[in-house]
Amino acid sequence: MAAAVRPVPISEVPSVVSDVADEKGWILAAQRGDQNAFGELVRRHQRRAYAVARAIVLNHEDAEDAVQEAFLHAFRALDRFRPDQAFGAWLHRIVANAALDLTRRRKVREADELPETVASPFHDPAEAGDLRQRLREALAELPPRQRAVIVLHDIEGFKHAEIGTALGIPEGTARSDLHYARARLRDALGTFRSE
Amino acid sequence: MSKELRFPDPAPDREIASALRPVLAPPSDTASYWDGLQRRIMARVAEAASPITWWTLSPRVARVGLIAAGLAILALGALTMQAREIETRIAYQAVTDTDLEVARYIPGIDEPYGATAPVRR
Repeated sequence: MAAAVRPVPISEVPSVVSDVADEKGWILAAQRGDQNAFGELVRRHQRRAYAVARAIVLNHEDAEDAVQEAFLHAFRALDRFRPDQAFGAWLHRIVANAALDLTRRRKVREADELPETVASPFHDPAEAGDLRQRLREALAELPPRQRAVIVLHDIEGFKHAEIGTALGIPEGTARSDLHYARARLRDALGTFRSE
Repeated sequence: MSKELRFPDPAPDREIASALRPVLAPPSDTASYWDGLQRRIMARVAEAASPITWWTLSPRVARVGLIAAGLAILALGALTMQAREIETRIAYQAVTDTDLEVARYIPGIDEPYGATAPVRR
């Protein structure tokens, strides 16, 4: 008996970003105005784009806003993208800019409003652990760029050169940012353990 | 010839990564969440790709446009009135200046008595 063919939801299609030739095809089609092709690029890159944004803004809602803004900007600027470039690196730079812009605007807004110690409206009752809270606070105290560097390097596995490209900073700056951010977070973790 | 000194990338810090991952994860890391985000992004892209016409403008943009148009009409009206006023003033001035020129000297009246009086025989 033949098995019933079930339509595969878009999220279950395996994402193989390393398939460069395939991606180039989607990019060229998107540049010709094919919105479905751009949708495919969104599907492939949105997770990492979210991670980049979240590393900078620390807040889920702002991260989503930054990702949406960034993809919209990428779509509008697509005709200026050269297909021989790495689409991911180009996009991450746009995402990082959108997130940093959002952080700057938020800072200006918060100067007039009540200060928030930790910018996260999502309080999962199950994760009310002190360690996470402590980490959130330590992360919030880091400058956005250092936060982005440590998250991109230690969680997302970016290389320093890729981080430099995404954030528009020299590789050496990414290295020193990582060193400083790690020391601050280790301090937060250490303080927690010694208590 | 200069060669840039390059250091190898340090390995990711597993301890920090495992501590941070739950802090930075989206509230729902499921397929449906990512499908939803993709749909929202594509809805904005489709909106941006569609041509702008007056009926597709958001009410807020339309309101701002109407206010701007109203202000422009008011400014234009004020300028027109001011120009007309200046024009009128110049016209009156031209007339009054001419009158003064005419009235400056009236023969027989402005001369000393008897200087130009006709001789009666």
